[in-house]
Amino acid sequence: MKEANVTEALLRDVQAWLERLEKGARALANVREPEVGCSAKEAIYREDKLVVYRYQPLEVVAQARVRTPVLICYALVNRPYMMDLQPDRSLVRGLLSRGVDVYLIDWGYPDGADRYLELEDYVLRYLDNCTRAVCEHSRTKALTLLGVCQGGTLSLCYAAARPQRVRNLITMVTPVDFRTPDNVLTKWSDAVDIDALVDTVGNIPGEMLNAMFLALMPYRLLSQKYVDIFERSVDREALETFMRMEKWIFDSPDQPAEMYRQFMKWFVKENRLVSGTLEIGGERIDLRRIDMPVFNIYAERDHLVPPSASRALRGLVTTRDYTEYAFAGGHVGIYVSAAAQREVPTRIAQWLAERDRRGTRRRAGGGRKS
Amino acid sequence: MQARDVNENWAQAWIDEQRRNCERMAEERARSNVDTEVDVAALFSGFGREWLNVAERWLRAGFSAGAPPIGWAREHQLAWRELVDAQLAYRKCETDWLARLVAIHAQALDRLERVVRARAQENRPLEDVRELYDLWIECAEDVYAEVARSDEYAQLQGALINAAVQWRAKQQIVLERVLKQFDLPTRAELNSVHRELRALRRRLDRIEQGVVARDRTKKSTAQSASTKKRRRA
Repeated sequence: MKEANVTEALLRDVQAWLERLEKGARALANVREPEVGCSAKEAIYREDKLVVYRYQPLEVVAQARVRTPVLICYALVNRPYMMDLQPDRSLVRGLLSRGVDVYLIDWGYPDGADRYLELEDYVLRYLDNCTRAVCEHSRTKALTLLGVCQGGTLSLCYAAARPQRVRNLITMVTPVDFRTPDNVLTKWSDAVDIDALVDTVGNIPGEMLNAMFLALMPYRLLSQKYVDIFERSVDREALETFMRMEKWIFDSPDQPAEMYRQFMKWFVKENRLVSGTLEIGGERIDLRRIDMPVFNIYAERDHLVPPSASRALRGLVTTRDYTEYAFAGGHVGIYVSAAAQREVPTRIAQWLAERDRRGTRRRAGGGRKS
Repeated sequence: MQARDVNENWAQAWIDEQRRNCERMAEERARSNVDTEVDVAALFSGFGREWLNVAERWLRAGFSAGAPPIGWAREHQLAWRELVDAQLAYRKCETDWLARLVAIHAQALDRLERVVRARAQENRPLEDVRELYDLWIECAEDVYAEVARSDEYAQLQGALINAAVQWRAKQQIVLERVLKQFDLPTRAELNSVHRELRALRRRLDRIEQGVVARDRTKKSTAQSASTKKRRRA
């Protein structure tokens, strides 16, 4: 009798759960394809497939501007609209509202014609041309380079190669030491024949990388995430935000083949950035040349770029002005969580404003560690 | 002596038979210019059972799975054979990998069972099915994370990816051959063009940089000359 009651209760519970999920699925069906990117912007520079945008400053903060413009160098792995996903989840908007002049590089979608682009093209040609374009547009000699994830690694290389163009360097969830023991992606990639992969597949499909990222937490990312949203789906706004995130996660450009080969071999397998043996386009990339102020932001619960991989930067640069900020969240939450909206742009804007005040002194007096 | 006669007769019989075959083929060919249909089977009608036996033995010996292909179409045959081998190798890796995933599922259930029993003993029974589901996810992720961090799993997954890459490489070889036969552009040709374009682009960049640097030097020299001139004046 007792057994029968338990079974009945269980069945009722399952039924109720399924009804909730069904209701969620129906609500999701009414959500239209999401629009992404919310702040007004204009293209100021184009080259091949990349575009540099300048975000329109917000009038309300015209009085309290940070002088040095910020150029966001996003990763090639996903689309940069994550920086400006929607009005209440936008790092760009957060910075604009705090008086920061924001530019952003959109790398576009590489195709077969970009197969032979190398790190040299990205670091010494594209990034150099982008920074020059921003400096000309903003009538300044140097800018703040804000590199995100893989874009942070490229920014580090650029700042080391052309330090005169970078007044301040901000890295967000940026892998520096790729061979810390907690780096699962590195462990996995060690067993993969990168040369054979690139020779055969050419540009590495975004779907392939996404499969790897999902494989880090398959039960949560392929099942629980969707069950959660179906259960909470009465809220239309939450559903639309979910769909925007979903679009961003799976709207993944391909990685240019040769650039990917070099990135995986030089950074991931051989850890050349840390060992000081990296050369790009025949130029030695020595992180000790990074003597400008550095703000290194990482996420404490980052499952893609472990904090240890980012924190390694401290011991590799020579600047006296090095600041670390550990955000209590994950690799994606650092841009879109409610806490991130409150904390991250505020911390960046404050840090920039302080460097603006000290900037001229640093250039005049030098800032290297002894 | 007798054996040699038999041998000569036997050889002569074969030569005569081939000659008749040639005559028949010539007739067939002449007829095919008029008729649209050709009796292909008839071309082989002169082949006796003995010859077919010999051919069968030869084919079996020479075309076993491991033997290298020979003859006019050997390159095509080799490409197809390597494609099949690569597919089989991939299937093997996939089977091993899936077996590991199934083992993870099973271990996750064991762990879930232990957790549920422990909670029952602590008088903290599960509230509903959703809680059971969340607990299962948690257990599965914990087990998976332990396995995923192991060298053994990295090797297993790496072998699967490498095998998939090899399989695809062999598919490309076969596909390229087919495309070439139809005079269609291939990926290899496009790659060649793109590689060339990039090299040209790089040369152009260097030339432009050189021009810019030279202009800058000229401008700077002209400026200093003009300053000197002004000073003298």
